[in-house]
Amino acid sequence: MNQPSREDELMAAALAGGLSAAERRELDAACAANPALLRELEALEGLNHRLAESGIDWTEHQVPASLAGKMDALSRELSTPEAAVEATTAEVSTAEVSTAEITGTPGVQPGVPAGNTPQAVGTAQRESSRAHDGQQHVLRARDGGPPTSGGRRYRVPLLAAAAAALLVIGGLGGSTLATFQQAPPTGPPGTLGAIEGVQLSGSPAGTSFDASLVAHTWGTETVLAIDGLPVGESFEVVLVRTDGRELDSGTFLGAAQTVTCRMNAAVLRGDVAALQIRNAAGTVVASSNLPRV
Amino acid sequence: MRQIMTDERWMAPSGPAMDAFNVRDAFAEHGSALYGFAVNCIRDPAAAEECVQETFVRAWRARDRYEPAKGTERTWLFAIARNVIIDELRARERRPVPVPDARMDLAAAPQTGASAIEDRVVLQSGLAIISQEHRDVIVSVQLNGMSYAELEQRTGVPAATLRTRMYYGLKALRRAIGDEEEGQ
Repeated sequence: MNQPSREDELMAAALAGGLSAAERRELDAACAANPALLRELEALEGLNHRLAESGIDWTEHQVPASLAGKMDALSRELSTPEAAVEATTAEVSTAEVSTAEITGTPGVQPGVPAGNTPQAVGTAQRESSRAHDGQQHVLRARDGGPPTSGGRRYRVPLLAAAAAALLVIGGLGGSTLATFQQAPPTGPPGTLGAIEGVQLSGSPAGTSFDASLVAHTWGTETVLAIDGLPVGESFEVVLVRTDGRELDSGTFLGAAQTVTCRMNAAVLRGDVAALQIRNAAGTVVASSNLPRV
Repeated sequence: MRQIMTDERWMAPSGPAMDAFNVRDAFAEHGSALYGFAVNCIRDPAAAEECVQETFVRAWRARDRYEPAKGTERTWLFAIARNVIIDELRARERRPVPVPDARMDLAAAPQTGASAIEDRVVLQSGLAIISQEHRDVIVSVQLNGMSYAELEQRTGVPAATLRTRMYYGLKALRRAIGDEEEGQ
């Protein structure tokens, strides 16, 4: 490493509050000769202050094996043809969501199908919508530009369709059709992006579980809304594969409020046989054997 | 208020495609820094893992919109990750978090509001991007309040070297943050 210049030494000492009187005069003279040096010193002092005021902390962490495994599965899944299919589905969904945003249809959540109002379904769809937020985010950006690749060749027809939909919505007063248009993918268990309601059995008295699964190309998402579990106690969400292996999707704590959570596991829906909620001792407190897909 | 550069801003409408974006390779190169960024911001390893996955999913979906001339792949991924993490932190602010962990105080105590969250995330992303050598001295002295003499005693590195390292580290941090803020 190169030796620091004299200016660097003075700047470092100034930032550390360790300048002698002679060094202070030397730095003042350097700053007078080079105003950029003074600006840099002020900027770095400001950054020091900003760091101190931020209240942030930092601890070094290694990538956990669980994340490495999930990312390995994700990279494999994103290289499959099904991944491209889901991306295309997302584009259609995005155009529909954007239409609703333009119309400002009140009381309609993106991704909520008409007629579905129970809390579990609503929660699941909000979470699913959130899971797709990235693609929607990005795809909305695509709306602003000309098509440049094969995947965007649908953009012009989609925009035309969205514009036509706006006219129809305006004419009809909109809410029913808008709600219909925002419906997420539907289909039998295993349909990519569709909400699959799950009935959990064995729940302790006084508890309620609203559970859903969403199949993705990269794994299976579990969406839960839980009430009544002991406050502060830890519970684990486990997906059991058809071959008997178990995957930990995540952990949540019982709370006085409704606990809503969205957890992912790097296993395709077709390979999942059961969903289980376990307490800290490993005892299954609620479970569901899932239909094979 | 400090604005946040969105991932879309890295994507020119007709920029060259990054067809070669490979999730496995990108994670191998940047995953550790991204996870460190996420877990230090959120203080929840499970949620941090989800954020990292979400970052790569968003990046993969936007891969044909990435424009290398506007920034490195690392900077692009960090811009996406920052949005993902801010979304997560804002969502957490809106709901009770029943975690009796003293570290959670960090998320609520010093500052509140969207700009405070964004500022912390910006600083954390800068810390994640700079070298560990620079990060160590900044964290020890600026965040943990250690004196140079104490740090010299702990590391065996002369205090004068540590002070210079701090200077270079702050310059690197400023560049890392500036890289992102240029996109505003």
